[in-house]
Amino acid sequence: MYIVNINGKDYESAHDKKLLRFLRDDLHLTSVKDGCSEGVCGTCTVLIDGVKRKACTVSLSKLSHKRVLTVEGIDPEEMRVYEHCFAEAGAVQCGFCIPGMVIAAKSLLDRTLTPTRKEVKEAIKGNLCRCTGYKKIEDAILMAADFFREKRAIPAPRTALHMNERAKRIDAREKVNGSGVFADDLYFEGMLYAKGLYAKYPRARIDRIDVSRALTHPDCVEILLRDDVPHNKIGHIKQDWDVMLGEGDITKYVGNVLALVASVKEESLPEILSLIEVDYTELTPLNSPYDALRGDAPLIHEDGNVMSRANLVRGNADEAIRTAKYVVTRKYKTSWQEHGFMEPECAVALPEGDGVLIYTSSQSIYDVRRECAAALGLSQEQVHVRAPLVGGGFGGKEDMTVQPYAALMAYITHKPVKVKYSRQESLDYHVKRHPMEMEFTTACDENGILTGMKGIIIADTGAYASLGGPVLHRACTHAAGPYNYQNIDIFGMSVYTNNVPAGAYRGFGVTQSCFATEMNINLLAEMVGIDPWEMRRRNAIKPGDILPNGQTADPNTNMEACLDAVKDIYYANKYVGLACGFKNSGTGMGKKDIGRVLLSVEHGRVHIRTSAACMGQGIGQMVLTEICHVSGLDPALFDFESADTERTPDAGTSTASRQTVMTGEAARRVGERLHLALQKAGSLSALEGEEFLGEYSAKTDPLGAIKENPVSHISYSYGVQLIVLDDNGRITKAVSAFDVGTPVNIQSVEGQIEGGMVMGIGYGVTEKFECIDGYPSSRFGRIGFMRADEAPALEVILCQPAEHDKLPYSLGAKGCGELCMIPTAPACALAYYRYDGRFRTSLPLEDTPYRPSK
Amino acid sequence: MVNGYAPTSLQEALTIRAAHAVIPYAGGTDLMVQGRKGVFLFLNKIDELRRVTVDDDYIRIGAGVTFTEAIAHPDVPALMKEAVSGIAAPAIRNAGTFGGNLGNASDKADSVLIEYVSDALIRLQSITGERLVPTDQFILSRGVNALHDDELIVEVLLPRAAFDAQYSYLKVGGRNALAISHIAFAGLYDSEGGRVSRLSAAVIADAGTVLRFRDLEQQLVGLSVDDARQQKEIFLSAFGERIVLGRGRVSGEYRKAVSLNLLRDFLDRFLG
Repeated sequence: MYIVNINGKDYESAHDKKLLRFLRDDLHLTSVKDGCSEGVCGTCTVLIDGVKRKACTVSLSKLSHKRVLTVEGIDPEEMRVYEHCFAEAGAVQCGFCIPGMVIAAKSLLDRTLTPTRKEVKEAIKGNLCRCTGYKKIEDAILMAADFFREKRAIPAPRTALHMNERAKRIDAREKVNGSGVFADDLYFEGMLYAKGLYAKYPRARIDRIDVSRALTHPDCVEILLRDDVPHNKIGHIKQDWDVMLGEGDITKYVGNVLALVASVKEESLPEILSLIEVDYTELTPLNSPYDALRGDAPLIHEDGNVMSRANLVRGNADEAIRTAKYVVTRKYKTSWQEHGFMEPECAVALPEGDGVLIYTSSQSIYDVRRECAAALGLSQEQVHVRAPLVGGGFGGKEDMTVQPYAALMAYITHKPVKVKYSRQESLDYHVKRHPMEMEFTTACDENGILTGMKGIIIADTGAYASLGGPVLHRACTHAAGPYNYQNIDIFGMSVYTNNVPAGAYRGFGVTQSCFATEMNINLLAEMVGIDPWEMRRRNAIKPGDILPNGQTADPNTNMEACLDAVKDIYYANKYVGLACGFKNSGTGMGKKDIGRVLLSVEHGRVHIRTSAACMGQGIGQMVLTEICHVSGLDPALFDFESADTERTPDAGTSTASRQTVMTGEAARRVGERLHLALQKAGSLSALEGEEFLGEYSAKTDPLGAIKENPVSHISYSYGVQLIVLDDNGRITKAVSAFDVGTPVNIQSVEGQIEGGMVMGIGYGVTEKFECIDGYPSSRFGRIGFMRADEAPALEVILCQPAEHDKLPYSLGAKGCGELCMIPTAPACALAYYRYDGRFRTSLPLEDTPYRPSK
Repeated sequence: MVNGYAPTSLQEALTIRAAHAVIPYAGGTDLMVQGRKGVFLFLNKIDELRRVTVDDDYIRIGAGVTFTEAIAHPDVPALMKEAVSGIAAPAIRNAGTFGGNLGNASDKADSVLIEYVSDALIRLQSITGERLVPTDQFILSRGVNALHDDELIVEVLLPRAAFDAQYSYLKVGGRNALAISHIAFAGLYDSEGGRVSRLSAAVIADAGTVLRFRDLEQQLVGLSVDDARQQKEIFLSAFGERIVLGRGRVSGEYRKAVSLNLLRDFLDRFLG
């Protein structure tokens, strides 16, 4: 018997176990998050006798006579200060790290109420955050110190809400005090735990699967195999993903599931899985696109190893290059990147009627419904999906991972089932950013005016398509950069291999091709004899110019102002790099692209209903702001509902930086509709029971449309970033000057961009995800995610277009979710080039103080 | 037998220059062809004349810097490199100098064209002092410059601001290599906040000196780019009227037509 005092009360446990498991599974103190269970992430930070510790590293047996504190145990008055300051500073995005951050903050502020920023960084360096870049969390802690010290009163909530203001996010409070529910925080009576048996080899024939011994395990409830899956092929765009593989099949990567085991106890799963016997005939895997393209390579999928192609030709690139004054050709290579969202994938499915109800972390509940219905052979109506909070996505939660397995097991056993990836499973099995190899030729005249470019892009899409097709498209359409020239010839190929699949990741292919183009431009600037800033200023796209993809740049194009905004900082620093980027908002390319918001007046309150998934970026606040801005209503009148396929209309996937424009415009429209109805009706109570639907469908042209100037996307955001190094080659400052239109909420926009810059520095410099011979070989603690004490100073400059030039949708707001990490890596590469003279052509950059060469 | 002095410092050279009737000799690429008789002052041993330096305002090219050295030097502007890389053959570029190009006052000197268009200053030094002379006041007419008997050409001062601008450059010769310019054109252009902030155009057209008309340029500088575009034809016809050409290696009409075409291309390129 172990006794432990938690939040002032003694609890007993019959068994010794990790404190984390006891807090969550036995006491349901779910503010204590399970981000890794490896002692790396800090989301389970608690105070033990006033000292911060990671609950996953401490056993109950070590805790007798000790006092444990979680955020649930913090005094409510004190908690209100944290709730206010974290919201006010914009520190809360996905929120998964936040309770741990609050504990870390408390451990510091209990000692001193006059901390320096350095002390704050020191206090939270054990806590990873992937959303914020830490700056706003530090601001929040410094603000909280000030509130405690000066005994400041918490200001009253605002009664009006407008665009382009600093406002506290509606979802901040529940994320700070830990009451917000993520999928893994759900516990149901009689809930089973399920886990897959994963392939041992990236490519092997499965000769035999024997589950008879496993079935005899006392905790084993059910084992499902391939033949139990009603429809075995699913997939976000291309239906090529095997839900399970069985005897006679050949594995495609190590994430293939061979058997699905359900147990009454989560901790018994590894033992049950170990009892399943599998015989394989090992085959040689294809570990690079070049292997897969060989004439004698085996086919990974029946329809060939070339998963998709893209070709963008405009003008006459050959002629432009032949007659150009300066021409540069270089090869570039980029590697995988792991999203590292703080919340590992989790789904809880329950039987409901003749179908299933699924709670899961995803980027679209309707995608989950479509794919799970397909796998289970059910109609859409039989699958009900609800979204709890989502602890970060960054593109990594668009594909199905745990969901079909939870749904299938719940459907078959008629019991609630939780399937959760361990952190290692998450690393090994979910999609990554595509590695790309590129050969780019770029040409300019004697003034550095770009005249043409040619490029070849070969992408390794791994074992399954995922979003490899659109990623390749975007890499190609954005490859020439935000510049004014029209002779382009780009060919891209995305190739299947037996590596970990690659799919969506913030930046979506543009991060890769931007690196190649920006680096070539640096070399051209050198040949011309002008500096990199001047080179970009001369070529920057202006309203009315034609983008390299043929689209006419809108009046809201404000690239030049972004460059002008960083000019002084650029010239004031010695080891400074810069790069430009642009990114579409909206999937575009002639595809269906619809945002929807439904308002209903229920019990005197206005319910905001949309499926647009918030993975931390602040969808609820965005929608609320658009509605309040046009209706003039008090934000306190609104309830923002979480996404639910039975309540919220389909607003499409949260992808392609699209929700601010698509669902934002839908929100503006419905806000105006409500406003008009209110004027007519006279009062809100007169509208009781009424519903208002806002919908916006963006019309665009497909790739290769026979048009002089096709509209590929409804809007683009533009920007430039600077990276500054100190004399030791450490990154001390990152600056973004961005045109993202009208900021909806300034903290949220800054927070997105700040977090994006740090993630971009990760991509460029500090992070490395490895997949060796088809085996993902990275550990969470060694990937190199930046921590607070290493993160540089971050500066965000917003360069809004003039009022009359703004985008005519969404009150002028454009997306900023992805652009923020597109130019970062090439900016880092230029900074290091200026630092040590080495022109690096691969990512992550080699031989920097962060990743010294071996 | 060639007679002369070979000083190793500028001070020594200036002293000789003041005391004796000497012909300054740098690369000798013209003097040797001309077979000039007299006492030469050999300047190629003077290190002070062979440097390229940069200060806040100017890129300073020593009079003894050869064209080959300039092409290889990181601080020499691209436009100047482009112009001097079109000079004759490598052997001539290895010997020929910036001072020499000014000293013979040829109206077809490629480096001098760039000095005209960029408002370069020529630094002249004598034992008693020094003068800074604008390029167009230094070259007086074909073969005649403003150098006094006791002076030496010491440095060319290229204003850095001029080379931050964008440029057009084209040389038209009888063939691609080893050609003396029939016509060469250099133009500089810059804009700030949508207004023309710099516009200068200079032409080699066998006209006695390089042609450049500041008063015409000033009519465009300061205008918005749109307004300047409207003034383009007026500018071109005024420029055309000023080009009065005598006999040359190729016909005057040809030289005038090509000069104006190059000028039009330049304006089209930057004003649209």
